[in-house]
Amino acid sequence: MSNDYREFPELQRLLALKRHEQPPPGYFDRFPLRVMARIEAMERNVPTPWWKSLLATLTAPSGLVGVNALVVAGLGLIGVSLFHVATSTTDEEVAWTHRPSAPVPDLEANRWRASEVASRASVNTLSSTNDPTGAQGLFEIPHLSRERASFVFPGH
Amino acid sequence: MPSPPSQTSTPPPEEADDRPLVERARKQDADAFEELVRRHQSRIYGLCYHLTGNHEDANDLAQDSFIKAWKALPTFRGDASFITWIYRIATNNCLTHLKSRRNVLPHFSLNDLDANTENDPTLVELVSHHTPRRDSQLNELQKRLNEAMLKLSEEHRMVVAMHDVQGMSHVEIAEVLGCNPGTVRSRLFYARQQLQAWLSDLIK
Repeated sequence: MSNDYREFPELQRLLALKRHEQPPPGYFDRFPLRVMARIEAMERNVPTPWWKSLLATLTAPSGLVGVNALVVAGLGLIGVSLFHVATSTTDEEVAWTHRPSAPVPDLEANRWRASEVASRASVNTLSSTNDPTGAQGLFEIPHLSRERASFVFPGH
Repeated sequence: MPSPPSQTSTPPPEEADDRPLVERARKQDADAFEELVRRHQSRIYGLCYHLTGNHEDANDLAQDSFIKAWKALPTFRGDASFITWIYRIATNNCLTHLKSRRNVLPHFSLNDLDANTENDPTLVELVSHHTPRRDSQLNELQKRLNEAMLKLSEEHRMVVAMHDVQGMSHVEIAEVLGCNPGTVRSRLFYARQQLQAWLSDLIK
């Protein structure tokens, strides 16, 4: 099958020129070394996961067994104490959260009562200086006229 | 040089020889991987170079492709040959690079022509038609050719680089690109048509 019209033979001859383009001499001698050096550097810089480091330390066949045991025991103690702290904190929080709510005071009414009491107190204080009996109390209302009480007892 | 087109199920000797090295490299054997790099470096570098027209970019992209291959080797199942697999990695690598540079003016850093260029009868004939100053004419030819290549879209440039420059078959290219050979043929035809138009003054 002749596909010459699709093959563009002249163009292909021209494109063959690209096969003669070569990198600098010695480039391919150095290329694999560069690739391997980059791979080595990359693997050296990969951070080890913490659990791997811990595992490596724990399984190290050196004389660090005692130290490792102490570290593990210490971690255990810290864990237990933290658990206790967390538990007590939780109880307090629960108690606080579930405390029955006190009735909400009527602030406006209280304020009125306080001012009323204060005003009476001041009046009483003033009037008590003139009243020799000193019988007036806090519950006297100043704007009401006072009358002497008279009592009639049967038989008198 | 590129392997000839192969339609049979028997792998070419080079690919068959790759298998023990690939097996060793999968087990993190650096020596085996270095040997694989040594075997395929010129083809992978060549692909990157013909796609970018720039030696520095090609150098970086080729190195990155092999490093990615080293990282991905444990997942390499061997369905395709090692060379097809590494070609795919390099192709994807180059495409990502070219897309990131789409809005940047192309910068040439062309390699020198080797000593055999002047003995290539095709090129001697081509150049002697134009000028007696062969060296300068060859360099001019090289520059024009690379400019025309870079004017092609990435997918068309890829098939030209793989087929017309590196000598891969349609089937091999289709395996690398994950398309059918018919698509490769049609892309090749379209790309050649465009190149022919742009380089008509050099060809006639």
